[in-house]
Amino acid sequence: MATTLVQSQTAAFPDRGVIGLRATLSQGGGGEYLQWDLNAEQQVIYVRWLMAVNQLAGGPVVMAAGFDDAGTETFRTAFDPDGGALTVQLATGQTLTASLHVEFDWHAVELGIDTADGAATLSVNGVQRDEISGSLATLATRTCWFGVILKHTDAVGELWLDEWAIADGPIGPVLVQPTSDHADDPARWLVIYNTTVAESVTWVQSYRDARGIPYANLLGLDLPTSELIDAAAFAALNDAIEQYLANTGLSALVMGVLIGYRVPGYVDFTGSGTRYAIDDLLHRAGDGISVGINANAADVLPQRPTKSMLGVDRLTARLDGPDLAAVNNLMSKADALAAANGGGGLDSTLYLDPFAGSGPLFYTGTQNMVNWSQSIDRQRLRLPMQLSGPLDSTTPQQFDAISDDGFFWGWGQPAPPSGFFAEPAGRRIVCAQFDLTGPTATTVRSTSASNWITAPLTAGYAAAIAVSRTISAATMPYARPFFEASRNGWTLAEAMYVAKPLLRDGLHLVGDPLLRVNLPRAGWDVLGPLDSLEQLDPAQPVAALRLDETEFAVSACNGLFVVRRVDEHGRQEAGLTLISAVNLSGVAARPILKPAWPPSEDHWSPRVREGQVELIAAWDRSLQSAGIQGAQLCSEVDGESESVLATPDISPRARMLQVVLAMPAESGRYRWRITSVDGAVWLSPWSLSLQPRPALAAALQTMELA
Amino acid sequence: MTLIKHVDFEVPDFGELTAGPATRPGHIQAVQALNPLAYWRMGDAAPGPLKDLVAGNHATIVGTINLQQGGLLFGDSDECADFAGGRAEIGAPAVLTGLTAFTLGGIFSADSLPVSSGISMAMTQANFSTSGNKWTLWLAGSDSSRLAFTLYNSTNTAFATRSTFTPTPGTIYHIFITYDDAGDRKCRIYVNGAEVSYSAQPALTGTLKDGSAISLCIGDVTGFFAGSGFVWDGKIDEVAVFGAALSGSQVKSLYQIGAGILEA
Repeated sequence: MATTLVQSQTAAFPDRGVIGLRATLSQGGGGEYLQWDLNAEQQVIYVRWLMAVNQLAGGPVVMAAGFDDAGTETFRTAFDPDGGALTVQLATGQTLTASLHVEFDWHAVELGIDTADGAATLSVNGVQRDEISGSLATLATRTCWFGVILKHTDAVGELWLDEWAIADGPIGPVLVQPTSDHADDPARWLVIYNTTVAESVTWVQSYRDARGIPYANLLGLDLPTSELIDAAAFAALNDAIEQYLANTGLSALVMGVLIGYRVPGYVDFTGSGTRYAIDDLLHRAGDGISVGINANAADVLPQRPTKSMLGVDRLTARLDGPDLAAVNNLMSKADALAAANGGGGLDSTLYLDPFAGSGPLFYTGTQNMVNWSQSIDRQRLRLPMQLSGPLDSTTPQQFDAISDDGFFWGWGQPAPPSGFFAEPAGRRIVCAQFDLTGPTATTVRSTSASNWITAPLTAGYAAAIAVSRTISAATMPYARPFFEASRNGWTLAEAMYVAKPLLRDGLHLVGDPLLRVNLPRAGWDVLGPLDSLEQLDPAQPVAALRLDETEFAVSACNGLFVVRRVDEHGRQEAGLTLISAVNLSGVAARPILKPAWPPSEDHWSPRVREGQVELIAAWDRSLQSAGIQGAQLCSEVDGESESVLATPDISPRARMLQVVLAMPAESGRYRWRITSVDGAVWLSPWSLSLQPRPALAAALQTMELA
Repeated sequence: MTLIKHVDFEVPDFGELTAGPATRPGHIQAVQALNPLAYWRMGDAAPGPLKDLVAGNHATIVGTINLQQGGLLFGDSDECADFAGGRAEIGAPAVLTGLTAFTLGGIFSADSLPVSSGISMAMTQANFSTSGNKWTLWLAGSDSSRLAFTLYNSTNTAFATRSTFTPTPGTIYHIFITYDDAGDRKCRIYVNGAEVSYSAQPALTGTLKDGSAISLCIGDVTGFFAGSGFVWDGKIDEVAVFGAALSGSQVKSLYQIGAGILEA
């Protein structure tokens, strides 16, 4: 037998279910297939199936056919792997054809025959590829066959089939329902690729594989290969997108549109040379191009966008570059950033142009940036920050070069100065330049060093934001929501959307929209000043330090400051086993170095020996090196308040403090109070409560030991 | 839109679906399984000959035939011959001599039909002399271009079986003719696996002409009518001759396989 047909997990269409139909073909004739009798001839019939054909070779295979009441064939659909032609032969002698890209794993093929209207259509992946009209009365179909109905004797390999559907109207590709309300769900995105460019098809398959975009959310269109198109071509592209969204039902699900590799990126509407970025234009459904207010943007972090919040708005981005390797590299960078565990080890600097401006140059956007750069929100990014000039500067001051850079957020420079992206590079994430004087990026397919998209992407950034045409001051995005959203784990596209006060404003984002910047969250939160611990509000830190920061400045206020460790998930330490510090009237204080013993997060046991209690605090270095200035051993006896039992001398070279006490007569517990040279105080956890030993028992113990 | 049927194959054993008809061999194997005396696939490259896969009765190209044109057999990349005034001739095919029962035919597609005074010779083993005729498969313009088959006995008496079927130009047909001396001695014409109806179907009397020394021609004739324009205008593919009268079901099976239709 030259064909075997079995149900198999191997052949399952990955977007739905776990089993598909696996046909294994070997040299020779013959096939195996299934049939379904509709019990009556259908005047209107649509047949849709999913198939993977990239393991076929040698010759054509017929995988779907229909027959009328008399058993006469009405249609048959064949795929020839040699050239990729999909052909539907109709009993009328007419044919419908389409070309399948074998770079693509799964294809949704749909044949529609309407004998009443005299029209037949062939669609591939939701896009109509051919149609014929005429008298089609003989095509009324009763029985459908599916499988390997016929094969060329040389056809070998495997054909995977799944999701066979028959209906009386258009069926469309297999939709995947999103599982998230937000645009971090791959099923919330529509990815556009260019079916006239083989590498574009290759790219979209790899992007789907990497991000889990459902096949139905990949829209392949026959598009110009040029990066710049005219108004008519844009209208055709826009119409095709709108039609696809409407026809498939995806318009109710999709929140974002990604312009993929080798899809045109700019429109020159009038031939004037002004380039409108297509991803920017697609921010809003419809064919208009006018700038509109983004109701979901604000200078504070707004509610995370949902489909219902967006209305006709969409998130957008573009993924294109000088070549396929460069674009794949952007995806790899996004993977690497997402894979970084809690952002730990992120060694990058945030570069800001905080120009405040004055008079006509005073822009809300830049002032917002200034405000944010001084705020606790900025500190909570826990990234080192570099400013190009004083926060109150009214004179533009830009960087000549940046290094260790992770984010760049600037404006006023038409092109990066020579050597701007200096080494060493930090983990470069997003570079944004909002120059108001003219376009800073009108192509992404070059390696130009004077372009604010190609230059940073070449330098190693995962994404870049720039302007493709002259923009207004009102376009300046808000830094606070952009970085806050990023810190909270939103995707890059979501962060950019809520930061943009205007849509279709001339800004465009090149990079993976599903990129999630795993910013470092571990560090120290400083809380205070407090008169008592009861006043502590963990949600209101006054400073947020990185793990490697040991100093913080608090301005002219006295009181107790509590420093809490924040873990990589952004959670503060709980309990009272905390580092604390006392403000020294503006003098910077640093967290105390905790001893190796007793433990900082649990109860501990005093050592009892020969009727005495031995209490120790030990460091892994000398007391001098640890910055220990003083120590007190405190106790709390039942029913009484805490008291100081001992104040041991500090020997700079010693590594240990030791106090030996007589066994107490009543039960009680102990803890250390350590003071640093900076005035920081650390209270160890309480020890386990020590119970007094009865006199007789002590005597017996003495006897036994003797 | 109403979904009539949706199969996601998650249910074991194909659920309620019916398995299709049993696997069948391809057309070539099906022809060969019936032990043909000659089988010309008609896909050979210029200048020919068109090779006989069975006994080496290769056909010589005479006149204009466009070779290696798109084949008429579904699912097979083998090409066919497009006749434009020429003929494929097999001289004195001894293997076809002395038959008392036979089947012959192939896949045909006419670009045009003969004018009212014309004839299209699909296949012949006749020179139209007094002693050189065995059979002809033809369309007669004077008879509405209906498909006809004429068989001769040893005294050169013609027995013309006339169908009521007229082919449509551009359409592919599987045409086979059967005859058996031991049967009712009537020729049967099958088009697309089904026997046609007849306006005349005489039984042969006398002795069937043995056909020795008569060339078998495809697409045109030799002998008396050579050059008369009695040519087949169109494609011919997968021609075969069998030394027995195939049954109706055998012919139907050949058609279904060759046309890409598996018997339901």
